[in-house]
Amino acid sequence: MAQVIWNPDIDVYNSSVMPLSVAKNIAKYLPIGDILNFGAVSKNANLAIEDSTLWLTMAKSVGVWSNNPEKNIPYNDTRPFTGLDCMDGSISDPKVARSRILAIYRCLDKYYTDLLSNKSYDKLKIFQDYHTPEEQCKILNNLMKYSNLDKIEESKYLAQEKLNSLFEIFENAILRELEIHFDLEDYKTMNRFVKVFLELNNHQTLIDFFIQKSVLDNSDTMFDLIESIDVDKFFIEEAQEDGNMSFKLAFGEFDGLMKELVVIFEHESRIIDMVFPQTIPMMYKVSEELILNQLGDRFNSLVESSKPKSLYLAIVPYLYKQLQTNFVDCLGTSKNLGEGYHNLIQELIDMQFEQTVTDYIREELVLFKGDAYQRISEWKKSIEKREEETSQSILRNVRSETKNDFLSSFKKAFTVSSSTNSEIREDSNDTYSEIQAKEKILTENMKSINKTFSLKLSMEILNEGKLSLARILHFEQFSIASLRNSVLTSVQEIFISLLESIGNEHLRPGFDKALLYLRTYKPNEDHESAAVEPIKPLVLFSDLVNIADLIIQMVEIFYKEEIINRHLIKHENSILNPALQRKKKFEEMVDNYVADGLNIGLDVLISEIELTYSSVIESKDYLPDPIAANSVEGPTSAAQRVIQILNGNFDLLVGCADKSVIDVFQQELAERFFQVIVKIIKRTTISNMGAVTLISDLNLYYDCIFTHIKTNKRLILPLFQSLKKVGSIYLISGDDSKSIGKLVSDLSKFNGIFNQEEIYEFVQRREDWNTVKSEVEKIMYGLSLGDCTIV
Amino acid sequence: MSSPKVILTSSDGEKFPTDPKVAEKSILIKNMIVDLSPDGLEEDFEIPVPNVRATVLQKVLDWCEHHKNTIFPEDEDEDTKKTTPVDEWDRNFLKVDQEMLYEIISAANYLNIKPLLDAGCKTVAEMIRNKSPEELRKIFNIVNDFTPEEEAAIRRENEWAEDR
Repeated sequence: MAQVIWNPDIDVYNSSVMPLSVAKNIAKYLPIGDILNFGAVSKNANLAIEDSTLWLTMAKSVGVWSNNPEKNIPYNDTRPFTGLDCMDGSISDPKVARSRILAIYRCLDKYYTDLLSNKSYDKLKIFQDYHTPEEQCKILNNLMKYSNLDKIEESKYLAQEKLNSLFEIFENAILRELEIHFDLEDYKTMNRFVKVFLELNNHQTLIDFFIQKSVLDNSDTMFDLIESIDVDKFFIEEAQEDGNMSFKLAFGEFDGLMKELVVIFEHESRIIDMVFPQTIPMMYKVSEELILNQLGDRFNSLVESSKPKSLYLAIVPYLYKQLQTNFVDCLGTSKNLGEGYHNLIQELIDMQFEQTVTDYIREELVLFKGDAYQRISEWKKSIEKREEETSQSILRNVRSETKNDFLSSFKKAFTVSSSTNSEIREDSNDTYSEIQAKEKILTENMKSINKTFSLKLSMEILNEGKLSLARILHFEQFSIASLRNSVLTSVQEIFISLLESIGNEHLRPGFDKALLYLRTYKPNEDHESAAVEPIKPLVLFSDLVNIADLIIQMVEIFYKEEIINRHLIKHENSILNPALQRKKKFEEMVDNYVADGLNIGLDVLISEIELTYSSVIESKDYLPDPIAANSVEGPTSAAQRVIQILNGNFDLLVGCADKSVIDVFQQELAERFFQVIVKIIKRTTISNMGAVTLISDLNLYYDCIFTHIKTNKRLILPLFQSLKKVGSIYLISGDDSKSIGKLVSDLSKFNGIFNQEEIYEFVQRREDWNTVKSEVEKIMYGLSLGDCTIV
Repeated sequence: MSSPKVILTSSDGEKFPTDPKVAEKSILIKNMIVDLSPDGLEEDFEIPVPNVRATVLQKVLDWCEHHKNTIFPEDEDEDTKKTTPVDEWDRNFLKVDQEMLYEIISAANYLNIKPLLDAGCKTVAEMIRNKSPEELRKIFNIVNDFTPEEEAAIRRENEWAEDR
């Protein structure tokens, strides 16, 4: 068996001495008074109670220990402590813990023991020794801390319970004092009691008390105004010009309200600064109560009652602006809130307004859209009404019998020779046949091409947008970030909705209608009146292009001034800028319509020109009667009329469309006109005499083109130069067929515009072609058909 | 065959064969066993306890037997230890005369049985409230080892603190 051998020489246990570790262990569980007696028992016991950790633990539990020596109030051993100041200041040297705790013990233990006795509260020693509320508060606080040193659970619990009820009695007594002095307006005394109260570490009770006294109980006097805000006074009803009643905001009432608010807040701030130290955020709490609870409801009811009066969009920004400039900015100072006073009040207002503003912004967008839609449809209605009226008045003049009386017109066809001549003449003066009427309606429609959308209407919508933005931007500096973001978002949305209204709802249908009218336009076959002026539809359409261009420019200015210059868009050129994307689409749409319209317009113009030739050129112009030939001089009347048409239309777009658009249009017009002339020449027969007239015409064309074409001269002018050369083909006398042959063989004379076949076609149009043919062909091909013999 | 025992011998020569699990409540004994037989006991192991009387040793071993499965929190901080009241069983267990209580504390201190030492000291602390140093010496059965000068200095300091 294993065995531990004990060495009896070592004296491990002397029963007459208490081991130090046992002594230390016992001391830990002793109250201070017993510690002192215990220390007097023996050397080891005395060593045990001198252990600084024992006292350090106690110093920590009453809160006079600090780890940071710099913060300590130097402990002065010579100063006699009293029950009031024995807990003041802290130590950081374990060596002085014992003497400090003993000093506290010496000062407080008698009161503590007294507290635990069965005396009634008013007989307690503390109230005999301490009389002022400041002293009583302090001694109660010190005893509460001291109770932590009590090692006996039951007495510690009892002491703390008694102290708590004493605190409660004490607190109520101070609140009563505060109440009395508040009513007496003795704010200096209040300040004294507030300081005592703050020692009790019960700020919330104090805040509740003061709000109750100064705000809630006070509503009959100072807050009379807020309580009895008469919402109706803020709106004035007045008669409009059209006799309807409408409302407007009573600005004076708002001013008055703001002034009253300033008075209330100044009053509160003055009292609070006299009564409360800065450590208690009383001004903030009172402001919070006033703004969020008292005023919040009133503001909400104001906003609510503006809705049926159509002043909702007006009142929200106005009220907010008023609060900013005539309330917050007019407030004085608050020592209690310090420098942040105005900002904090503004933040409270923003907090109160957050929901209202969120709703308002949404509503602003909805109403803007609705307003634009309504304006557009009203405009549309008025246009439709006008067109309808025009059509009606035309149709009213349609002869009744032509409408459906087939038989009677059938009958008339047989009797027309005898008696109806005079009748018809009479009819044609002020009545039309059905077909004439329809044509007349078309003409009227055509006249309204430049009225298919309205500059004025677009400006009105832009203006509404501007007003909307101005209202929304009252909230640009809102102190809640999410709301600031939604302000920026809705600025974009308003702009996009504005483009939507003007672009898709107004310009698009307008252009569609204009293009439809353009397509249905037929050149007037009555060549007496036709083409005296520039072609009406194209002129009108260019008017429209001009208007569209103005609208685009206004939108651009709006975008620059209202959005970009105000820095409302973070990434101006980013793909993430929907406003810019939408604006580009808007411009693209207009460009496309302009291009389509111009194409149609060109078709119209060319067919008008063709029509002029077909109706005016009686083939005799270039093949005059040789006898009367001498009298034919200068350009033909057809050519003159065509030039008139060209002059009237060439520069239509200058100043109202992009230069590139104008260039393309002019080039296209010139080229197509050239084709028409080529076609005309190929269709006519031309004599030597007629050639003079033809060349006059061709010169006229050249001059006209030369005047109008500015940009693509190098492309266009050679076409018309070559035409002049073509004219000279006919001028050469038939006797000199060799020269004819030489001319037509040399393609370079025609600037390379025509190929040999075309030139051959041209030369065939000579009146004397049959006579000169073989000679000319001989030059052209080296021999003529007539020279061919079968060998 | 029964498992190996720890055999504790009291100052008056009485042997107490004890289950190692019970004996190891004493950190002193536990360390001895670990030092001498790191792989656990293979045979009986005798340990003399020359400063503890048989009656006291019996009492201590009763406590160890009762608490053999109790897990005591290890690094208890001072504050919790002070406020935790003495366990009910321990309180009854320690209802003994003052001499016996003090001897149990001394044995627990020597054998290094912390929870028993704490419970004992708490009980003693309650017992010695409001007693004079002379009365305390009697309770603990110890002698006054101060010089007269030392005693006078201590008295002066205590009188200052008790000054009311």
